[in-house]
Amino acid sequence: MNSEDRSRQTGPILLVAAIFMSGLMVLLFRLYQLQIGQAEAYAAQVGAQSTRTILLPPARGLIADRWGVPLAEHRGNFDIDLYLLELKSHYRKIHGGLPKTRDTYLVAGVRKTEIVDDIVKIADESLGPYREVLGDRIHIDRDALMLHQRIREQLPFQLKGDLKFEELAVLMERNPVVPGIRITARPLRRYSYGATAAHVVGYVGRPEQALLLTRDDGGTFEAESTGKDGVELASDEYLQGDPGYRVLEVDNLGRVQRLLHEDLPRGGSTVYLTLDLRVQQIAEKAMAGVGRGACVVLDCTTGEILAMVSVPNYDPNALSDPTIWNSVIKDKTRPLVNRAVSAYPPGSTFKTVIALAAMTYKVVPPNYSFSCGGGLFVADRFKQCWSSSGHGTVNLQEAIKISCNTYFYNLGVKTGIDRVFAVGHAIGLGDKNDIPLPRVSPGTLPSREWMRATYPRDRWSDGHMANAAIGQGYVLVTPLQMAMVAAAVANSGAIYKPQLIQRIIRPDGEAEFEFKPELRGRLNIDPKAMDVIRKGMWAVVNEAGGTGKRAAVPGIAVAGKTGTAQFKGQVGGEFRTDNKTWFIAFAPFEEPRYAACVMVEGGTAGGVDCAPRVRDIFYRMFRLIRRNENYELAYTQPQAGNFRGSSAFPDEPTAAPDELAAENVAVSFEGQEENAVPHEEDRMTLPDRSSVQRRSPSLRDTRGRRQFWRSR
Amino acid sequence: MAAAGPKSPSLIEKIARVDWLLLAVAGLAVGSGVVFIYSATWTSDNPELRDYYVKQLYHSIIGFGLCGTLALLDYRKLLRLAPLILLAGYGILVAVLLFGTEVNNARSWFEWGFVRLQPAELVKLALVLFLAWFLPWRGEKVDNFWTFAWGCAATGGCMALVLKQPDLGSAMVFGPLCFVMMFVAGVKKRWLLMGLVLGAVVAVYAYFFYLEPYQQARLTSFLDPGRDPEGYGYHLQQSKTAIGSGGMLGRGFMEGKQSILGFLPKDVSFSDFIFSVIGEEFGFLGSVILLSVFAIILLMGLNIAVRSRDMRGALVATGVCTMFFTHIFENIGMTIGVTPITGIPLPFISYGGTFVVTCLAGIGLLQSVHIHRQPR
Repeated sequence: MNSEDRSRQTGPILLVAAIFMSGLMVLLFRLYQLQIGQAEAYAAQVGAQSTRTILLPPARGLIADRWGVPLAEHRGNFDIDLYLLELKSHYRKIHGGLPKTRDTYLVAGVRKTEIVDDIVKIADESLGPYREVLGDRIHIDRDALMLHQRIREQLPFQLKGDLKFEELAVLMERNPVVPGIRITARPLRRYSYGATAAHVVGYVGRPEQALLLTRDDGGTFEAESTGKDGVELASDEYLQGDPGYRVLEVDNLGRVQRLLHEDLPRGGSTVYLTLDLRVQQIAEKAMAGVGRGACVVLDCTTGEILAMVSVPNYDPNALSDPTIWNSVIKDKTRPLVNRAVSAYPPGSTFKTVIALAAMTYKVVPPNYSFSCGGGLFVADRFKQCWSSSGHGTVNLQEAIKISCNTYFYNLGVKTGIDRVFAVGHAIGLGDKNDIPLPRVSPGTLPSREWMRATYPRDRWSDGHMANAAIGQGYVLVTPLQMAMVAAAVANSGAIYKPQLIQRIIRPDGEAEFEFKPELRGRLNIDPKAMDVIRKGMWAVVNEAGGTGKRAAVPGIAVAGKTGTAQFKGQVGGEFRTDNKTWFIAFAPFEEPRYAACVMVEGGTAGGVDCAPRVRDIFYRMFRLIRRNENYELAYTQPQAGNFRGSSAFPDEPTAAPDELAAENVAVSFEGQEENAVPHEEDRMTLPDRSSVQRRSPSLRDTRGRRQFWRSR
Repeated sequence: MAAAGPKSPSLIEKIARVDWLLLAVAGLAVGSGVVFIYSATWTSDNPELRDYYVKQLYHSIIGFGLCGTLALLDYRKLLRLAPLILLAGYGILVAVLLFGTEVNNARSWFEWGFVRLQPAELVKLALVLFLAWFLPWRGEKVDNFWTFAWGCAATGGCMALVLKQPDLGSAMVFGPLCFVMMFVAGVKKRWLLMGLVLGAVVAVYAYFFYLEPYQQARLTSFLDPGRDPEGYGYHLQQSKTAIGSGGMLGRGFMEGKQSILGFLPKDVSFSDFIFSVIGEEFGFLGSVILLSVFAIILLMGLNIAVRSRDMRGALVATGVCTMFFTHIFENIGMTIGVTPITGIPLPFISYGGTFVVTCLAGIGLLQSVHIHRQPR
């Protein structure tokens, strides 16, 4: 039986073996497809389902004044975060199950109802221990929480922002440990001095369009906040910093298992402004009572902007409140506009520019006189002087002092627009001057070319020139530019580029930008001619009959020029007379150090609305310098605007800022040229140099008043 | 030839004739199985699961004991008891339906204290033994219709009882077992073909009228895993993702992300889906090695069948190999979307006490056929 039997078995068994091997080959082939052919796709899928990338937003850089006093900083803000999955699993452990509820929502316009975990009830019960401390302040937004559960359950739900520090302390003490509830610190932008320098600093907000920041690994993140105005906006790229990220590994339930990769964020750079917060607050106080206006204080030996005020202003800390935001944007006085870099007709202050142009090009000799009979025929039209009886024969110095229109109609026409343009342009008129702020107006410095481009049917005439000569007509300037004009006179023709940023320092200490005085140009004016203009401006303040006598500071020789541009028109939705009144000044006259410009909209006259404010600023500045005093910086409330011009500024008689320097009251022009070195004594310094400390970014509350640099 | 036959070899001779290579390969497979089970369970939240590799070690020791016993026992003596063994098998299947412990809606287990037994696995071997006795017993009448009919009846009985538990995966193993053994025994092709057609008809009928919807879904999800991504389609999707992401060399031992992070469900990754863990951690290379190990076992087993003393030995060996192959093909196939998902374990590797004992007993039977082959 056997051998025959065997031959019968062998064939079928071999066939069976062949079938088995083919089966294994099928598996092998399929495995080859999966593990070799599609390996990368599957590996990518593993990565996609098992990792979560979390943005670590960088701390935004600080904005500080020149001494490092922070204007915009980060404050610790504490939120309660709910981790829904943890909450649920904890709840399930205690209660043995999860309550269910009906969740109704719209998907592409279609109403959908689902039975889901009642996360609101779960969260509500879990928050019990927290409620003991926070009471009713814990409010769960039902819809938001349900939505969160639906679409991003694995991410924390931010329950409550802005936990008070005391509350935090109590919570820390009681330490109610509920899995899934965590207190998380989130930095919040904080403007330490409220409305102080609001227009310069600006504010931050959510980006309107997604602002994508690039990570090191090439991925992008949406920035959480971005500068919306001021330096916050203009220097956003420096302040923003580089975001970090964390790649977490999660399991099939979304629970975090471990940290795969971490790239810590790099904080933004600190932007040190040229502003001196003391000068800024002095200027802001001087501008109190102004309905709408602006003020700029420059260091005329360097071009550094020490103060830049615009009223009305706002408290950037409050803008996140929708009611305040709405009232600010609806306010007809337009508090968001930075008037210091917006353009207005300069009025008679522009006569200074005409005088500089005439003297630069030697159109007339410095002692040139002209007779004012109350006006002048220019191109067959009578142009009035402000004094209808006329000023008689006046020279340049006299003309500046009394602001004689007739003299400047004549001088302007003689000089011609080309020369005025050349000199105005050299000073920085009609130019944004690279000011690192958004929406800086260049103003308008007209020229023949400008005329052709703007009004093709018209051409530049003597009539236009006569108007321009007294700062009316097409000429528009910004308060900053007018401060530069004052600085140009103060410097005898040397023009420094105005600068707002002193330095930008990265967190690692490396400087991204450092201030250097930049000479923009130099007017080639004969010293004698320059003298005439300077003395004219001195006489405005210091001689009988000068238009700006209320700018006089006892003990400090102030030189200046008034201006009042007639303006009637649609302002704030109504037709009204809205003169732009100006005062530009520099001091001390002998060795000029500071230039200032105050502009008040709707004022009466430059000598009335603006001159006393300049006096106040200079007085307080010099008192600070010469008495080496402390200045207490304060959190300032926003100043509301109005259309009434300005309230009267008390013309209080003041003692000299430095009684010890009383002999300086007698000003002599003679000694000036030998002593052309800038007055080192009048440099703005801190009262006690040893106490100058760069304030490091801190999270402590800086609300309220703070004493600075208490001297020893 | 026949003259040399009657004398049975001594125990020493028997031990000398053991196919050591087959034993070693089987041992290697079981050993690596313990390691894979460890890798699949070490991150589990359940401490009981984390100790499964130790339990598997104990099971395999029992298995090797049984393997040795069966190897040294002359299979011809064992086959004389085959009808009784099958009868006992039926008894135990009925008993489990009556007294078994219900786990996951299925009565597949006996639980006596710390001993857990899954009778369906043992009955597979019982059927192999029965058919290996029955078919040669019919002698010349093997191509008679009644041989086919009785064989099918014995098989169908097992299938029906296991399906009743229900354990679809195990029930499906009996079919190929019966088919291949009959084929090798020389049952007429037309009966076999008829059996195949009948089987298909019954399967289709059962699918529509007998299976629960969840079982239907499970069976068909391999055709379109995207259709039911959260159910069985999800299992399959995650299993394929795990295996595919292993690439050429795999992520390395205990490094399988899908397994560690629970995307491969941790309640099946150590048993029915152990191959997904292997594929992820050891890659294509690991898959090739594992398939090679299985190929070696199958080929050695079939070689034993070819070289066996008689038809009975050939059938025992073929039956055991068929059982192995069916499990291997179905188990690996379901993890990569080639076959429907049914819960059956991977021989030697998957966690499961009764099954690893069954597999090693199968190796023991192969050894017995090998040891008691016609001496040269």
